[in-house]
Amino acid sequence: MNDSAVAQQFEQHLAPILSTALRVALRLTTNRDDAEDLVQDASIQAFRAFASFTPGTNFRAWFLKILVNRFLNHKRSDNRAPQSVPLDDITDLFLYEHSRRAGLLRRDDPAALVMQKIDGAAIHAALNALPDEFRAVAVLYFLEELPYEAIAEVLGCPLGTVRSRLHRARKQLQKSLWDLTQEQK
Amino acid sequence: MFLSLLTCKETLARLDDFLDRELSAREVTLVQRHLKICGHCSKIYAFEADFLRELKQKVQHVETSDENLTGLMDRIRAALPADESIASES
Repeated sequence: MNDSAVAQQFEQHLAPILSTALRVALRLTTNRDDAEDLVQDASIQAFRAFASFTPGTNFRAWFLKILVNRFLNHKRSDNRAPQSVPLDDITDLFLYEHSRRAGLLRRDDPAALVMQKIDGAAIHAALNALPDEFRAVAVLYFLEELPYEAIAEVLGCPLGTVRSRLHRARKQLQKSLWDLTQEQK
Repeated sequence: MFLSLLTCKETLARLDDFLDRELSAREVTLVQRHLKICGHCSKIYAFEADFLRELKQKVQHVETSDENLTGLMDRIRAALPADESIASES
């Protein structure tokens, strides 16, 4: 098969999942330019490795693995020091407890009441406050709704690591979102 | 098979996995049994389930227009290496 035929075949695989790839990239990065750069870089890397893709298997999962790892490797090379994860002071059920203390549990649908104050920019800020490796797990889980095992496969880490990162990401998201609702008062 | 009851602490420790459908069938039954008889934990479960649903909806709301995607595909097409030998199964 010549290069042009390979490129055409690659494009046929990429086109249907490009929207997913861009959505994931938009949630991982801080702005649209960085997101598009990430998708483009991942596409070039995927094209170079296209021979290792087994036809008939899940191209979306294969591509997301390249994209997310590209993001993490790039961030690792950018960061001089490892990111700290100051989550020990965040209690489990953070949002529930704070909502209860604020008297919100007496209302119908208290979680929706908290979340209605949260706009797209706040969600973006809360996700971006997560350390990169936690954000990657959170994006694959909340955006793509991948099961833990599929996330572990994409990130190449044990299931227990996914479970623990997701648990901690949830705690930090709850705290960030609660703090944002309090700032709006 | 005998299934003992979980305590509140044991139930809440399994809540994330329960919400994410990541528990074994046996553990799902244990958690469900506890939630049926414990008003405290079932209230927490309802709150966390609603929060999770709302959060997923908000995270999933990302705008990518067709125009955006067409532009991005054009950009990718132009950037794909043409002069490299790409090994592929023919």
